[in-house]
Amino acid sequence: MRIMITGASGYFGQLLAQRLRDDLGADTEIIGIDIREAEDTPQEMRFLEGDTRKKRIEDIFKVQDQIDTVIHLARDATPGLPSDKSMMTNVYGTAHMLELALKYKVKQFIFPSASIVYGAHRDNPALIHECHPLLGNRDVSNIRDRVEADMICQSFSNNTRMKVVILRIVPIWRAQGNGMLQRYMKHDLVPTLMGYDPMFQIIYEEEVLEAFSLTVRNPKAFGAYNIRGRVFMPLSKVIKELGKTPLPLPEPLVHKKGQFRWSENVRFDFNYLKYPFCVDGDRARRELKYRPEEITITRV
Amino acid sequence: MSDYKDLKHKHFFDGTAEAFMKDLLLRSDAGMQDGQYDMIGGDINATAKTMSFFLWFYKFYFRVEVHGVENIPQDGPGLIVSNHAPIFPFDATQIALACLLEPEKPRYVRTIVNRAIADIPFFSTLMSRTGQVIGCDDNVRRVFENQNLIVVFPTGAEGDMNTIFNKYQVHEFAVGFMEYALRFRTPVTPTCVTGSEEAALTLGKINTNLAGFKHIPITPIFPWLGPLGFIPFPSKFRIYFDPQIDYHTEHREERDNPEKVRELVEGLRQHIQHMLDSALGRK
Repeated sequence: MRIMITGASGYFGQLLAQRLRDDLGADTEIIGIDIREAEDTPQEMRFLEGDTRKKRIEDIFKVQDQIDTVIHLARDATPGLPSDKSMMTNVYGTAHMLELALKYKVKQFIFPSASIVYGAHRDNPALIHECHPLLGNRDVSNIRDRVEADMICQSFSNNTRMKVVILRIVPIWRAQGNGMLQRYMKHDLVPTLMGYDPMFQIIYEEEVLEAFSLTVRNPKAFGAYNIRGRVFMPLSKVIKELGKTPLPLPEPLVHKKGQFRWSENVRFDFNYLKYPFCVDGDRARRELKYRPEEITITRV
Repeated sequence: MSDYKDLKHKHFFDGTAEAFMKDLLLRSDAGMQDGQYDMIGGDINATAKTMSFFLWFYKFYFRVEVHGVENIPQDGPGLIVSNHAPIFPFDATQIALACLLEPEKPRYVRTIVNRAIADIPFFSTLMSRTGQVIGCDDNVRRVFENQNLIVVFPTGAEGDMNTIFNKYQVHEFAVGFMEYALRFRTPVTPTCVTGSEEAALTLGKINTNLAGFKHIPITPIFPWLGPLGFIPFPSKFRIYFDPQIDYHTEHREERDNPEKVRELVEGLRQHIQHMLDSALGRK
């Protein structure tokens, strides 16, 4: 089996390579692709330089033998990046990789999306199903890119030759790194919107890795899956769970036109702290056998 | 404490009422467990606290009298359809308490709340913690799968603006609940509440579009006293439950026929109007 991971130099790409090697054994070859090599690329992975936006990336498919699975992690979420630049990587790059994967007879294409694509709205159902429309706020480039990329993947998911799997993952709490959730909860005091305490879901790294590993090992998986962790509680309790203190403040003190006042470079739709956007993980539980409550969490 | 009738005023301050309510919720079909949130975000401690607050109103303030306790469905999912009085949904809380306190087997009632509630600070949180739902197909299906009762006020935001001059007029019903009843094969229990209009004492209304609400009521104390204007007047509440109607056994095939559904809804509206009229001794 041969697996290609794009965006492999990223923090998560490296974790995933190690995890897949542990789960799938030594006869699985893992090819990592990124625009530059990380300093400590794990030995499990064969690194190749390539840019998902460029035509030249096709050469990798040409010279390799059959690639069975593509895991498309490449994404540019650099804070403050102009939105047209991020769109090239996040949307065009995804479409490009999908076309190449189809052309070179890849069997499975896994795309990590996020539960924020559903958008936070006051009439959201208590738990959102996979078939819910993607109503994420298009004014924030980060969210818009995710929605667009998710929709492009969906348009490929009717394909019978290649199984396109979209994992809509709830906000990830990472041990290291610079995710949206980390930047929001940078300080010990975490401002929340006074009077609003919606139900919130977060997921730990181990749970995400398990979901990826189960998907790779399940050739029948296709379409969108909501991936939720074991944590499902009000936002203030989530903040306490992560060892921080929630600080309810009137909305104007938390953000100005979507620009977070408490940490630099966080542009965000603050409806996500106001309305629930919790997902129903039943499909992943049923079809991927993904059971978050059975996973041991070591890094928090 | 085994019966709410034994509760004294002091019990509402020393936590006895809350403990009583929590015990009742655990025995009921709410499906809430200590230390866990249900799928809607319901938390048993928050719910017990809120319900014990309204229990004081139930026992001492509105002195609720329930007729037709035997008609409260004993098990399985169901819809309770009732008339509605303006401003604060005291009628909903009192019906919910009646279903918890009066039958032998306590039933937990969830309400379908106005979407605009989700925009109001603190209320949105309170609604979520007590397991109340926004009316959408998915939520309703989940509540019915959970074997809970739902109370609906089909007059909705449009029709719940009776004033004391035309009180207990049941306005035109929305049809959504009947579609749910037919689709999910749930019985409908017609219910009416008297006393709720006097508690609100609406003198008039202003048409507006503030925060998603179409009208703002005017009462002797609202909006003059601000949030204190929500305090109801101490009228006596009477809640009447009629035997359930199984629309789904005969009319399930007609669920895709809007005219027939509207006809059924109109029949139910007249039924509830009739219940109200006979309860009030009107012609």
